[in-house]
Amino acid sequence: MKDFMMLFRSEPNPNFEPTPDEIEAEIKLWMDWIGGIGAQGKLKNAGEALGFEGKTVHADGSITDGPFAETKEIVGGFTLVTAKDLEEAVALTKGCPALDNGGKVEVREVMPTGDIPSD
Amino acid sequence: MIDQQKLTEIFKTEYSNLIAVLSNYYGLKDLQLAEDIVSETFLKAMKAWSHKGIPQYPRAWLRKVAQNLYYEDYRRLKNFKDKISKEVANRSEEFESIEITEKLIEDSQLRMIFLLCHPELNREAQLCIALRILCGFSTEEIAKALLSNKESVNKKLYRAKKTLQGRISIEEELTASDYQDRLDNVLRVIYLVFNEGYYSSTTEENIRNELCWEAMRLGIFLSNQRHFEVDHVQALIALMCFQASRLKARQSGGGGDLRYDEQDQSQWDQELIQKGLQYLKMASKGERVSKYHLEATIAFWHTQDQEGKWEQILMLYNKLLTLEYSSIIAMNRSYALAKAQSPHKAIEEALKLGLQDNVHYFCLLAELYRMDENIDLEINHLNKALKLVKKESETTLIQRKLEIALSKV
Repeated sequence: MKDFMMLFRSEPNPNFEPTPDEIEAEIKLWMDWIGGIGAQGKLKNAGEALGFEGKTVHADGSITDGPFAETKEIVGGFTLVTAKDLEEAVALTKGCPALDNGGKVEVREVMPTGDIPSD
Repeated sequence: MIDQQKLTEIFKTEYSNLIAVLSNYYGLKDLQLAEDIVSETFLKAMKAWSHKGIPQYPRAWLRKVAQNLYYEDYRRLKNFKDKISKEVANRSEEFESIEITEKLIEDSQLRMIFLLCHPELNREAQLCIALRILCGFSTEEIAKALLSNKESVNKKLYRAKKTLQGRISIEEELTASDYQDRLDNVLRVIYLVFNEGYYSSTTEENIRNELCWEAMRLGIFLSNQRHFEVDHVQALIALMCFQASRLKARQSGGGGDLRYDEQDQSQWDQELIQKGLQYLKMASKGERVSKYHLEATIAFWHTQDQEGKWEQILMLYNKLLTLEYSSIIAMNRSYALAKAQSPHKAIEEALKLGLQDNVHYFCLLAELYRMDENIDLEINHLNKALKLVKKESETTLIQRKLEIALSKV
């Protein structure tokens, strides 16, 4: 089994101010989806959601506002799963709430550490 | 005549007390010596009490006799050593006279629990050793409780003791951080004992219930200690209270276990439910949410009968799965999904679980198809379950469901 990271990308909508009920409903959708992966024994780490605020530090020492460089799209969170191969990991994204909101899920293999054998 | 039941009860509780104390002096490598002394003590008691009846302070009587036997044994050993080796003679003043007090018993019990719940023991060995040393069960009782036989239990006990001998020393002083580090495993063992009582298919209710009460007793004992944070312990006690509140209702069917939705809710033990709530409230004051907090809250919702409870239960199972995976949690989540959303959705997800060698998985699928009113697939999966089932009581249960399903075709 290999580890894969799912990165959730979307364009933030600054005008969207959800009500507490909407937030709760959204969390429920995410937990149902994550629980489904967990039930298959394929959840490595439920991960975290990231806030919209952020700064970017550049190689020349300058600091700019916002986490986004060229694109408007930002990473909104991540989850770590285990799967046999990339194909199986991609199949796990089915039902991911990020996809319902016009977002994207990027699936990337986590490089195994050289000296620790992965099982 | 001597009151047998009272006698059994005294022996059982005093067994673990005396072993725990004597082990302080003999060390775990001589656990057998401690056990021998306790057996001899009980034998003396049986002889002395069979005519005159149980004395007014039987526990004090037993403790005094055990103290004397220990002292005799010590003198015998010293004598023996003095004659062979003079070197030993110099160290012979080390004898500590022991006085078995409540305080000593409590401290010794606590140490014993933390030393015996060792991560290297496998499930069966851990259960055997916990039941013998912590709960004072006889070999026969352990065999009955675990649906095994005496020989096999003896072998497991022997191997467990051997494993422990090499790994731990009773002289070892446990620090505050040791207690905290080992607490998880201690709680695992207590829950193991409880579950063995709650789910085992032995037909002898008394033994089965007794395992549950023993686990709860150990839990409450731990929750009164001050060496470690007790919020996880309290959460586990809450969980056990909620579960145990249904023991009577489950067993009132005559023909064995009644499923959750078949039980007469008026038979649920409200006192235990209230106790569970008290412990859950205390447990919530801690900082971390453990799996016991989540499981206790799930068990709490199962004692309730109100709108929206399955949504709550599903959410809690989802959270539980982010902490750890087990096939049981995965299957229970599927059932909650069927109740909270739809059987159809639950089936879709259950088919991904990949538990093809698990009889309960096919029972679950059959149940979900029944809820979805798909009788053909319900029958199909009950038949698959029948091919895998080993326990007789479960076979009967599946056959009963199969008959009902077939009658609807």
